[in-house]
Amino acid sequence: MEQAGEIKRNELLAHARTLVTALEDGAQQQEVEQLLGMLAESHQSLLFNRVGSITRQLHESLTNLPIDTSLIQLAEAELPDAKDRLNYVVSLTEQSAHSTLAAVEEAMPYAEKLVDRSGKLQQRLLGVAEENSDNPELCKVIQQMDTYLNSLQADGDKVQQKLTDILMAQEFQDLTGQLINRVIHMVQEVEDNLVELIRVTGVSTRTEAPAEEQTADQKKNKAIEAEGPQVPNSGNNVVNSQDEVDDLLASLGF
Amino acid sequence: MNRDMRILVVDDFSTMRRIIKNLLKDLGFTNISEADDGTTALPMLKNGDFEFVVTDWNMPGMTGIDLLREIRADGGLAHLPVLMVTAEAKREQIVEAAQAGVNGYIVKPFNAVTLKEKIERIFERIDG
Repeated sequence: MEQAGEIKRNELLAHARTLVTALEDGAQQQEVEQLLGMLAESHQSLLFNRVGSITRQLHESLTNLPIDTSLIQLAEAELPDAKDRLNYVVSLTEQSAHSTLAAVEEAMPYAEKLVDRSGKLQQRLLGVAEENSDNPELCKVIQQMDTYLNSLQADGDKVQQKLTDILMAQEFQDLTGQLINRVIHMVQEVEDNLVELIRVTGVSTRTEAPAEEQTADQKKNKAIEAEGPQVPNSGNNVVNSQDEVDDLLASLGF
Repeated sequence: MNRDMRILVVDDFSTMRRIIKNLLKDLGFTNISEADDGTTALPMLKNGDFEFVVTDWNMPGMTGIDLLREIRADGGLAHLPVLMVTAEAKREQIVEAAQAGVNGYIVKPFNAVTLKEKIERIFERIDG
């Protein structure tokens, strides 16, 4: 490519010299303009050559980018998989928080009733004690019951407080969910950019990529790798409940 | 402060709406409606007789700060007390909310006592 540049430079120089000579010899306006035109043309083609050379280099670099199967795997399978898992995490935490909140909502009225009824019974007993002030044995028993009902109310209050603590503890789900959503967004951007890059370099994602050759050992080891919790409906030959596990084992004779 | 007043709780996370609803119930407020975004909240406010709004900031459709601005810009809604309960904790945001006319600002994670205090304070100012 440098050679073409050199040729253009020599052409330019030749035209320049012709122009200088013509001017020194007192050439007519027409001839001068003609020579200037030829200089301009040489300059232009010099520029075009430079741009062409840079474009060729860029194209070569792009086609030589290591867009191999692992990057394509990343864009097509692993990044979308990562997003699925993160979405699943958010959904699991949501379900879990709702379960806890439901239980708290159910338990609250019991604690409230405990406190309420104890208080009411105490009032009634007070009345009974007053009417039977001549019966010391009865008054003693009523006194004991009063003490017991006090502690019952205190316990009921305590339970209500703790239930409120459990309620408030569920707010983690909102915060963790917001954080995870931001990460999912970022993964999406990375995936989009990678897909675009693969597209630009013109590598076909399905037919041209050479199939990964696995040795027999690699295949065996891959089969017993732990995969972590399965995302539902991922179609990975996965059981969906304890019943299915039991059925599968039973069918194998366990 | 009327314990029967209609309250709208706005947050895109259903768990958070549920928590706030329960806290309000504990404080004696039982007339509570929910919305999952500023876009769904605004028509509800325009059509209903709400007297109090508790809203998040960060929501996908219309944010809480925009909802607040819409409320203050609407003749029929401008008087509504608005309490923000949000994870947004930058100074500029708090200032922005105050300038937009918010009545109270609670930062997540928060506790039940804070909610009670802020609500009481808002209505002390209004009723007083």
